[in-house]
Amino acid sequence: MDKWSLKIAGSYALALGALYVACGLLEILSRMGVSPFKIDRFIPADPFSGFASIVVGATYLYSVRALLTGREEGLPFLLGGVVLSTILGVTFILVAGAHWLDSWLEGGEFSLAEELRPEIWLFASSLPVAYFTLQWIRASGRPGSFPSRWLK
Amino acid sequence: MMVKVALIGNPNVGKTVIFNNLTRGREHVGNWPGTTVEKRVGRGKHKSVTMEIVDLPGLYELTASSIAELIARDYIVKENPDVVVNVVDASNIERNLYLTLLLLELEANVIVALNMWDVAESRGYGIDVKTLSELLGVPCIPTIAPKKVGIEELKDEIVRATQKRRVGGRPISYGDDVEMFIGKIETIILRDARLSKYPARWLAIKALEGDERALKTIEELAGPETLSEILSIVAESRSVLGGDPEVVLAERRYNVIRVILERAVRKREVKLILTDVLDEVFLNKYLGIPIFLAIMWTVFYFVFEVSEPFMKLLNEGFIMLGKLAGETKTPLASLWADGICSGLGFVLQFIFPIIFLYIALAILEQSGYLPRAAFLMDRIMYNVGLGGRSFIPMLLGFGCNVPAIMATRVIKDERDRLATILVIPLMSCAARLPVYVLIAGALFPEYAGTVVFSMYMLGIILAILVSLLARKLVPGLKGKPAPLLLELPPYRVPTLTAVLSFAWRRALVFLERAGTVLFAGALILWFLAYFPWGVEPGSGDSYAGLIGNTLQPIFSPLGFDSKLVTALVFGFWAKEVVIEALGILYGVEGEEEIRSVIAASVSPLTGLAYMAFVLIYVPCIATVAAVKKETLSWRWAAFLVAYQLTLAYAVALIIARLGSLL
Amino acid sequence: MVEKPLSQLNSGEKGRVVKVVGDPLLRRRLVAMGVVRGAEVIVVRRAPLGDPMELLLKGYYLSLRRNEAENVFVEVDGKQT
Ligand SMILES: Nc1nc2c(ncn2[C@@H]2O[C@H](COP(=O)(O)OP(=O)(O)OP(=O)(O)O)[C@@H](O)[C@H]2O)c(=O)[nH]1
Repeated sequence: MDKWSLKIAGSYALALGALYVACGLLEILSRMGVSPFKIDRFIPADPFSGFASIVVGATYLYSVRALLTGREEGLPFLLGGVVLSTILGVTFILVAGAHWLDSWLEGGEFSLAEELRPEIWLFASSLPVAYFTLQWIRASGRPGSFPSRWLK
Repeated sequence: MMVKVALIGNPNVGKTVIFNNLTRGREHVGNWPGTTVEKRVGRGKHKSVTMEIVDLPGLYELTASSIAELIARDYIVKENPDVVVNVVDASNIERNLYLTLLLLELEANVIVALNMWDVAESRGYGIDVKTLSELLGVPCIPTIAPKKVGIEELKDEIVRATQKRRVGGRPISYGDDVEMFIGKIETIILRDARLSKYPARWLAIKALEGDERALKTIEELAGPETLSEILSIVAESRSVLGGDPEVVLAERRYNVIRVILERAVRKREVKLILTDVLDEVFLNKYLGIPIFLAIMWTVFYFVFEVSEPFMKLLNEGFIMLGKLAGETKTPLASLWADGICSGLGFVLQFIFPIIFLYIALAILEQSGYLPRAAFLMDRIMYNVGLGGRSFIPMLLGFGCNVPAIMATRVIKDERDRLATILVIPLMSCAARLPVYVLIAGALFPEYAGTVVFSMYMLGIILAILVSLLARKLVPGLKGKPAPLLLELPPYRVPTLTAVLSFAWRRALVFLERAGTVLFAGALILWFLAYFPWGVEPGSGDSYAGLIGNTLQPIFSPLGFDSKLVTALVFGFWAKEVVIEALGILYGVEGEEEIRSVIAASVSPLTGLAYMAFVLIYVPCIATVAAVKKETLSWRWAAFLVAYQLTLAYAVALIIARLGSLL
Repeated sequence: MVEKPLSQLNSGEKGRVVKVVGDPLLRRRLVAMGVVRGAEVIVVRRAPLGDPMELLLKGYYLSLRRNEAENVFVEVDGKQT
């Protein structure tokens, strides 16, 4: 991986991580009723999913320092962030599906805006990172391209 | 012609996939007699040869100290299968061959399937199959099970091996010093015809290793003199070999493996290994535990949100079915609608959370994350007298105790497993929450959240105490948690079919076993609530009410009146029912009304004691059925019920007494 | 060459097993998993709460509790005790 790709990836991870953490905090704050904004249509008041989002964000942020200085040591955290973001995003998509089914059965209402939680659009925004990490894994088919500490 | 084929291998080597490939899905799943170890038998056909394939449990060795290992070993010695297919993880070949050597010792007709061939190649292992086969003296077939690579060759080889059975094979030499002792014991064994049905060299090796089962067999069949003769040789070997024979033998086996691998495997330089990269994150000092908690929350959220519409649908369906019999004016119509249909609906609605929970669990397991969770949590669990492997099942208990108890199968050690099963019901399941919410909301409107939370905490604290006490006092559970010795396998992408079939099988097991007990329980409760015929269902005049009235004096020290006690009787069926029963008993409908009558007629202190009682006393008949099924004994199920009733009573009494002092 | 219990190795340190002691059952399990004399063991990391440790040996990862690793003695390059 050349230095510039790493730096770009690092900046993207910084933005993504910050957004995840911010959304997570907002979800927790709006549960406690002290959210500074009136955005409860888009940010659900759910402290637990808030926690999960913060964890994803923190994982992304972990990669930033190394990547911005052009070192590959940040890449594992980038990959970890993608994995977590996928788990969370896919779960919420499935749950949205279940809610839709529920409303269809019960005749209740179903609001797409409410179901499109931040975790889903942040997952969508993580897809470029997924592509990037995939490239990295492919490229490291050659020996020694990752400073693996444990392998002789 | 029908040939018997056994599949054996270390855990997680792809045995199940190979089994499915050989049987093409025609299988029967049950338990090995007298155990909860799963037994899978399937049939397959190749070139007009019918194969009966038995999947043996995943294991690392063949000692007498674990049930799974005894099952596998007894099966090979006593059932004498025509072929034993040893599935080996080619990417982890050194440790995997240890079991292969043990199987060769057993004089089984071994074929080695070098599975995970693709992984081995990507790791830079160049395995020379021909040399390896020659050195081991048995056929080796490279396979990539999910892609069906090598499966036809494996089948060909199985057929060939049944026609030309390997006799004894090439014995692995453990070095002259060890061989001398093996030889001595072997001659003693060969002398005695009564021992002839066991492979002599194997029995000699096991005796030298001090294997309890082997020594007992010798004593039983050949008498104590022979045994003491052998024991004296074992004692002599200890001083000559400079260490315990079993350790020395294990070392020698690994030496043999090293020599074999030096000749049969070339290793290129290694590329990046994804597992190292991911563990850098998932086992990170600071991120590891938060990530684990986030993943577990996601699992719960997924399971409960997704199964809800399905549960509703099912319930509606059974209510409609119940209405087919018209008005429930006669006992028979009521039996149909309120007994059979609502009972079936109740039993079946568990299926969805169980299926989805097992889908999630299968993904966690097959991806390789489950052992990592045990690794992360082991410290905490060890301190409370359990092991890391107990953590996930206990956590699942907060959702529903039934799948949690079924999930204890991941715990390999039998005593650890029992101890975990006994404390899981103290994890406050989702069904208990509505009871707390209602009562806390009625009696402590200001602090409802805190009160509910403290109930969960109370459950956890009691679980810790019970586990610590049980490991000190209860026979059958006494002692320290088993050693960890946990392998952290590489991460893998789970396959859809494997995940779904795992979840589906579990759901069927639940239906088959727990379902019948549950259904019977539902019918009994229906009878208690609706009879003598004509009374208001569940009221004080019904049998349930009578039971409540009769039991009430026992509960008067706790301050429970007969209505509260009757509701507890119903709570035995399922905890949610407690609220419904209270509504019927007080003659009101709707949460709001129930809340206000409770606020009017129950003191806060009694309410607190009642919530604690609901938390602790037997979760529900489904849980008891699951405990019975997973411990294979009514004794443990009865013990669970007894200890929980006692504990519930004691805790509620303490709350009532302490409160009245304040 | 210094000999010490495996439990005292730091993350990233490498040792060669010289002996395995302790409870027979545990010892038998350990040797079967490849913790035998002469085996090379690398301590990969400790769990976040400090206890079980993760080892790399014979090409796979194994985790052990501290009280189990105390029974495994390894020799390490180095001067310190
Ligand atoms: N890449 C690759 N993956 C494989 C191969 N064989 C099996 N797997 C995967 O390895 C995982 C474990 O396979 P299982 O068949 O469940 O292993 P098992 O030996 O039955 O495991 P236990 O029953 O737990 O002992 C699955 O996700 C398989 O898809 C293989 O040859 N190559």
